[in-house]
Amino acid sequence: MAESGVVIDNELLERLERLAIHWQKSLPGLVGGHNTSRYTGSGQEFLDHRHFHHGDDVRDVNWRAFLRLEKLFLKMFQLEPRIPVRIMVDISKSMMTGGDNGDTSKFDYARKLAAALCYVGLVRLESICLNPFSNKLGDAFVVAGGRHRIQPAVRFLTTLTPGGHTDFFTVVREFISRYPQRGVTFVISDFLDDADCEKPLQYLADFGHELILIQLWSEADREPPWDGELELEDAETGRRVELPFGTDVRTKYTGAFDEYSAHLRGVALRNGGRYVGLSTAVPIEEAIFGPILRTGAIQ
Amino acid sequence: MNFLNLSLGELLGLAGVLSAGVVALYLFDRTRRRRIVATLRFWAPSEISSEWKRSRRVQQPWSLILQILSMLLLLAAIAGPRLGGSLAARDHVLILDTSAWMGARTRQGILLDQAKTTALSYLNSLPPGDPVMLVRADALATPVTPFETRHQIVADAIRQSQPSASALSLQPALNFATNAQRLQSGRAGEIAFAGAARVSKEEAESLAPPPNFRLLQIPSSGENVGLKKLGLRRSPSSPESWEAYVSVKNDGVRAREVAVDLRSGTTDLGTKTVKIPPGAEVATTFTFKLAEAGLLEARIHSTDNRDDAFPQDDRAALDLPALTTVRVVVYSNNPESLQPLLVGHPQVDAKFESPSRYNPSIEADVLVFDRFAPPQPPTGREIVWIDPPAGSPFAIRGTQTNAKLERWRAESPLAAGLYTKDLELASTKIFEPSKNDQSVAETSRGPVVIARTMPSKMVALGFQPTGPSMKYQLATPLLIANILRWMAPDTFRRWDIQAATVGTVSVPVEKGTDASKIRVTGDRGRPLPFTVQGEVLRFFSGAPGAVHVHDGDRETVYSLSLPDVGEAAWKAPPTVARGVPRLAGGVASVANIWPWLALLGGLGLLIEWLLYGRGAMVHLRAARTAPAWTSRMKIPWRKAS
Repeated sequence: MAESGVVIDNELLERLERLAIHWQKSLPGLVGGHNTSRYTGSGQEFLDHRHFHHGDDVRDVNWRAFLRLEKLFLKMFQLEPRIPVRIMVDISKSMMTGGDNGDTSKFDYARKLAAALCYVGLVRLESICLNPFSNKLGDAFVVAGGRHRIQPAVRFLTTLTPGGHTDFFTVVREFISRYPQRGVTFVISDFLDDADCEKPLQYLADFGHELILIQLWSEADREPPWDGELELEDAETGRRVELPFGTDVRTKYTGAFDEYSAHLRGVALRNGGRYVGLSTAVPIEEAIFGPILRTGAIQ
Repeated sequence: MNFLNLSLGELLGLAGVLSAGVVALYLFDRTRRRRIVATLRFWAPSEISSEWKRSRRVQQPWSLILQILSMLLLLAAIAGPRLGGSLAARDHVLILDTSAWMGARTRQGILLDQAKTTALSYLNSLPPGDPVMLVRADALATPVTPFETRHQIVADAIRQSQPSASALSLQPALNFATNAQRLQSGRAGEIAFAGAARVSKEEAESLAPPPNFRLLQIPSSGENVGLKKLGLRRSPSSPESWEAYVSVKNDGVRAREVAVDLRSGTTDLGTKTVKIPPGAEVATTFTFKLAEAGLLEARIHSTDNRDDAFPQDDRAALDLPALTTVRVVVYSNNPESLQPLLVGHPQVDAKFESPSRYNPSIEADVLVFDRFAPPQPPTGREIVWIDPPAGSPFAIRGTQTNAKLERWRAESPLAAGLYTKDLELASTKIFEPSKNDQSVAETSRGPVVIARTMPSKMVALGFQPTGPSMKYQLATPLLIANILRWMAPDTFRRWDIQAATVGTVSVPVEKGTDASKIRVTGDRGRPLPFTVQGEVLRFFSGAPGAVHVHDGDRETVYSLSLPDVGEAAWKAPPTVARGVPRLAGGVASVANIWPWLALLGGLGLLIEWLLYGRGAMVHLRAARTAPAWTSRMKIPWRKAS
């Protein structure tokens, strides 16, 4: 599969077919999924018995128990719901930084990763909603119906252009209002919002969404390779700072970055979600079958 | 200390420029670079402000100082400073005579060996640090070394010198040395000349040495008799004969008697004995017949048992060209009439055939059709048509009887030397010339002799050249000779062959000769520059070889195989310094310190690179084990470049 800007080779697609998106929370949804839920419904797995009430479907009555006890008991089955999978892709300007040394930019990396996750979901007949965002939530692209629907998704990702600054608060507010149904939400971003993004993510989790945070960074984001007098310009705000940069400052900078990543991880885990930190120097295939697979978000 | 290669002003100027460059590069290396980052949230404001305050000062001052010091040390090394010795180092020019005369025999080798010994003695007498330029002088002054302080290099160049083939021209060499000292040296030293100083008489009388001239003259006996010229040309009366003239000169102070031998291969062509007064030049001539090509050699040997100091000019050799012939086939029913015109010349091989035996593929350089036109005229052959009948390629306007030949066209080479106008032709055809035809002779009604060059050379005569009216006219053989010369120019080329001396050669040319039509070529046809002034052509050849001068149908070959020697030994004025000077006793030892300066400069740059450059590992190790004094020197970061 090859589109301008988003390229995933067929070999990787073949490997992705063996995977499925897994979530930990019990989420309500339509029948037809593959994840168990604590909600009862028309599933295959037996869950419990309860007394028959008027209006219940007589087909679920345990007739063996009635013959033995002369009481009507209703069999309840575990629901395997089909829940919405939403992938939020950060397209802010900061995603374009750090691709100077031949590495893939965070923006391209995020699009490839989103395409790969989308394919994993489509193979299992999930309904995938792609949501680009920067300072606001962009137009969504919903794709469902099997693996052959990956091409429109890739085309959609290819047409994305980076722009705007990151504003998680606004984006989360729009997201919650737009999608009241709870589901699994992948957030692929560098999470470099000048305002704190902990609260917006906490809101998202509080509304019942299962968060899978995938933080992307380039090597220059985490450990800037430069030395000497620098004039740094924020890619999103254009704000400038002049300072001398050296080994000591670099160490402190990397420490602050790692501390921020740990903080994000804490937000995800505290709310029953998962966190993956990825450098763009790590190939997509290694990232999926390595750190992302280990979190259990896909299995 | 003195600086050999740079003056103090130049050194200071260069040091200033270099320091400014280093500072500029230093500042450029530390200029602020603009980077676009994803966020500024991880740049702690306190860190920025404290670091920024420090950056207001010059970063790494020791790096800058170390760089400038290292550069200055390298610059000083380039300047070539010396410790000790005289402060007044002087630049000397040593002129070594490498003219042909320096190959003259002496009791110990040749004159040049003595000159080399003297030149080396002079070199050793100079202060060790004085720069010396070696110039080899013959007809040209050739610098061999620049002003060189390493005298060993100059000594090696002296030892490798060999005598050339040209005579000494001392005044240009002295002028060159004076100019070199004026333009290239800080303080002029001596101009020393080592050699026999044998120059031309004119130069010996007018030579003006510079005030700082020192003469290291090598005495030479001057008893020499040598060949000056060997000339050769075909005899005008008999083309198969050669006339050779040999010129012998006595450069000594006593009268000499020598025998001149002339031979070609193993054939002895003659021997003549000549007596030559001192300083005189005597010429003698030889006449001999030789048809084959070969090497003509002239030798002289003394018949009065006296030694000759310079044997190189006792022999001269010339390449003799072979006598070539032009093959003429005449188709005529009356060959007896044409035989007197074509038979008898050694360079014309005439063959007479009947028209009935016409063979279009017969081997011939020139075909003559006498009142005969073959059915198919041959193409690409030189043909003479005599009284051509119908069927010839020439258009005939008509026939005229008792025609008077009125005009010869002087612009045609076929009419060269033909001026007679009293010819009356009993009967002649009048031609109708085409656009490619050139009229040679005309009557009142039109051309009777015409020439054509396309597609091959052809001449048509409208009359019988051996007819009753023409039989005893001088114009007839001249016209035939002109026709044959025009058709076969290489065969009848006029040859002059001379053995001459290398150097400037003067060649007499005819008055009014167009210089653009003259070609002077050296070995392998390489054109040589020449000048024509009046009736003299001059060219210069500094090396032995053959030079050809082409002038129309005349070719002069100069075999420049004779060495050119000066006529007189120069007698220098009494004010001129002579001999090898004594070695100054107080010459202090001189120490060249540039290697140490270069080493220190390189070491400084290496240390700077290790401490502040990309020597990361060393830098880190040095940081870990930093001595106490370095704790005061904060090295906050490595350089980007």
